[in-house]
Amino acid sequence: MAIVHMKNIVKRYGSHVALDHVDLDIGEGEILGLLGPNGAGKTTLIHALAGIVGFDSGEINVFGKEQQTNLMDIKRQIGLVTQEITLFTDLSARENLEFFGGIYGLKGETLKERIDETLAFVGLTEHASKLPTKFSGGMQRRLNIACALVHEPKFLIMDEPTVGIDPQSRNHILEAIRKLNEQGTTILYTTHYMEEVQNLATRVVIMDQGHVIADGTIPELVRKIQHEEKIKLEVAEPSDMLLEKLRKLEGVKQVSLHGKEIHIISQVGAGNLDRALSIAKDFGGILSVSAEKPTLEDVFLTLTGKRLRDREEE
Amino acid sequence: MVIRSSYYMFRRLFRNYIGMSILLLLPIALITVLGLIADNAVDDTLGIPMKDQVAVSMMLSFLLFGGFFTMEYVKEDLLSSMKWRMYSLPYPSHKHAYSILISCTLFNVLQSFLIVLYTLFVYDVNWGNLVFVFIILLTVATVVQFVFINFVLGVNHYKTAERLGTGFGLACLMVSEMWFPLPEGPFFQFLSMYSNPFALGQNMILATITGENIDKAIISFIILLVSAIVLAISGAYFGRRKLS
Repeated sequence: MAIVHMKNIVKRYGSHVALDHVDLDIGEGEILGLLGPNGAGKTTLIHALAGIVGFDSGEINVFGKEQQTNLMDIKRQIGLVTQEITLFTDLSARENLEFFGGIYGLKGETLKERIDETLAFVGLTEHASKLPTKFSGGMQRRLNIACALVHEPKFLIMDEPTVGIDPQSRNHILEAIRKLNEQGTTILYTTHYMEEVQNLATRVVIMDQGHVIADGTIPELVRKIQHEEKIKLEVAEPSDMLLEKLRKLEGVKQVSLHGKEIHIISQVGAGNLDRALSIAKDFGGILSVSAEKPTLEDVFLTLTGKRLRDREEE
Repeated sequence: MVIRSSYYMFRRLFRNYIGMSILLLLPIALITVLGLIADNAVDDTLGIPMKDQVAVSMMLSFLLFGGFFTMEYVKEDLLSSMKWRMYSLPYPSHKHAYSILISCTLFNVLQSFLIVLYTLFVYDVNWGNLVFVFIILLTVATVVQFVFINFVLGVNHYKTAERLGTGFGLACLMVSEMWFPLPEGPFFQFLSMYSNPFALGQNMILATITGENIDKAIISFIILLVSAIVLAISGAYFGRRKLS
């Protein structure tokens, strides 16, 4: 059952179309990975969904209710983990949670219990009385998540929640997300880290230039581009002549040299592995061979023409 | 929710040590030093001790700049990246703006009232009826806070709002003849007496202290009330434009 139904959403900023007739359904209990290069419209989509920004046309239904007419009611059941750290730096971790929990209508003992549970969940119980300014980046990120969880939302939107943190804190956050999902929370997750989506998401949506360009499980998306295969040959004596011979093989789309390793992208079923091996043997021998199936990264690259993160960023 | 939010605003304000130092400790220090210099001299025009006049001027001068609290918290909570979380809450952002406005106004009044109490007990300044003084402070602070919230919501860049705030405070002091007398004539006389919250507040407090010029104090009070209403309307207009 879909808890979110977005139909034909258009959002313009002046002449720029940030969301261009976007359709999207999110099923109950899913972890939906939302991917896209910078400026693809992911954050606008999240903001429209969370009721932060309006949209020019289309329809959004959340929990079976029309969003515009039930905005406050819907907001009470959604948690938003923002991309930036959005905490009151002059209130302690506990006070931050008290403030946000109170806004969601929690009071007295219930609020106290929820705060204790949430602090324990993100591993900050011992730091409850400290100001966020005394926290490390990872701890601030965890508190940022806690503030969106204190009211036990049914639907959690996470906009790049692991940006700029150490691997230990990232693992803690990813584990927490899995637990939340097991407890029944539906999660919309955007990130620039492909491996996070591969590990977490039950379904992936790829956006580019305000459009949804792909939607499906990871195996479904990979199948869409499985007309290509990548062969990696490590050779003893790579030369321009060898590369030229490989390029001339039928069905070969791209040949590139990386140190002693030659990467060949070829059509599936062209039978180029055998031919490439026999050619390479004549050029000083082969040190190693591998053939790779497409990954989510390849899907992203094929569909958008861009990497999710620039290599320098990594 | 506004009350709950105001409670946390107060906690934040009490932890704003820089603001406290500038708007509470600095005026107390200045009053102390200038009070010592004034000694037992009497202001011939007003017929009150110089140190009383110094206390009134200093307290009102710093009250004029209390609007920076409101500007700063509106910027932090509703105009920076924090706004994304605030907007995602089932709590309209204009209500949070009200809570900032209410808390900062009361905090500002409290700070000024502490200066009043300090000068009353340490320097024996005669403030007249303290309830009236509190009401006067509340009226002046409300107008000042409204002026500043209009600045921060009415312009595109926060830096511009900051400059407008500083300019407003200094202009108020200048036209109230704090530093030098204005040229003679009815226009300048009106300007120095009724044109700004500092002058209006001073009229009312001096009336409380001396028991004279009550009519001037009442006119000042009415002007402040009307200004507060006009500024509240324009603030609501700018807020609707900027916070929705």
